[in-house]
Order: sequence, then structure tokens, then C-alpha cells
Amino acid sequence: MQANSALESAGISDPTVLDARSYYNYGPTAGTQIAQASDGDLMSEYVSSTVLQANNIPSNETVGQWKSSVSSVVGNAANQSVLS
Amino acid sequence: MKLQFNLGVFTLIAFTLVAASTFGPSVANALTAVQPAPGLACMSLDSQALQTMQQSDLPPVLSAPNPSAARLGYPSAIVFVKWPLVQQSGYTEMERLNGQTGWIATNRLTTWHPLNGGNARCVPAIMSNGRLGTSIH
Repeated sequence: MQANSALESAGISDPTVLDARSYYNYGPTAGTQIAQASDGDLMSEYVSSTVLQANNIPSNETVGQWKSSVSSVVGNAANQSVLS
Repeated sequence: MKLQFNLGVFTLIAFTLVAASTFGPSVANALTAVQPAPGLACMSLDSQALQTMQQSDLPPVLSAPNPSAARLGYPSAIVFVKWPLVQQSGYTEMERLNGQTGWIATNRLTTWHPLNGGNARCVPAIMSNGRLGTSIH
């Protein structure tokens, strides 16, 4: 299933590039949850340690820091809708 | 007197910092919790569901507490259940991330705990983008 379809199916009506990246990295449960998680929360509260290690995410990284790291790679496109 | 004043100032600053990090105002592109979402509580999908990599393997969210009811979609890791709990015919009433009410099999839900083993608490919240989300603290 495509990320945009899966995110919409989870109730995220207008998924962004960041949301799609989260889905691909962290799967259909944690990956969709991250889309609506507070930036100050720890990634490790949402994602298992095994998956965090597989993605080279330190245990003290916040959701906001992870989003920033992705945004620094993809630029302004990070917050653009994947539906348009 | 001076010590009391300093403690008061310290307490005020500490409260402001905590409030800003949990239910504070939004900044550009940052997603923050604005206020708790009333009448909801966090539960978790069971461990089997959390490990799946196929969304279609998750328990569906249905429009009514009936296996033949329309399928609204699939849950995320954290399920916002109505609180106090509303359970009927083996299903629990919940709210999807888009605010839509649905029902999910009660036996696929469990108490929520942070995956890092800590003792943080999950609060369903109205987020700075106006949608439903989570604040963990």
C-alpha cells in the first residue's frame, strides 16, 4: 500500500512528505502516530528500540529533531502535501 | 523574604517552561499540543499489531460495533478511546485522528505504555494544526 493511502486510512487527511517518510521508516502503527505527535516528545516513546536502532535514531532524539533532520535533507518539500 | 521571592520566581519560570513544552503556542511548522482533548484516553494496540508492517493486518476501525459494519480505516499505534470507556458487543468506541468516531475490537487493545520503558503519560490533545494528536509527558 502506498504511504499516502495508508496515512489517509489512519485518519490523516492531508499527509505531507514528512508523514510519508515516517510511514516508510516506522511502519503502519508508529509511523502514522508520529504524524500527529508533539515535537517535544521523544521518538523512543513511540518507536521500539529495535526500529530506532535500525534507523540510526538516538534514544534521546525528539520528534521535532527527527522532523528537522528530514527537513534538512528534503527542504521545503517536507511540509508539502503528497496528495497534490 | 528574598528566598521566598526567588523560589516564587523559580516556580513561575519552571511552570511556564513546562506549559510551553506541553500545551504551548505553535511556532512555524512545529506541532505542539494546545489543550487536552476532553473525553478521550490513550490505549495501545496489542503487541502483535504493533509489530506488523502491513496496515491490512491491523484490526479495522468500524462504523458500528458489528463485524459487518462499514470499515472506516485502520488505527495508529495509540488508540484514543472514549472515556469513560464505551464497550459493546466486544468493541470499544474510539476517535480517529480525523475526529471521526469508530469502533475497534476490545481484545486488540491494551494499556498504553511508552515503548522506551519509562513511566510517561499519554494525553490525547488538540494540536496546533487543529487536529487530534498526542502529548507525552
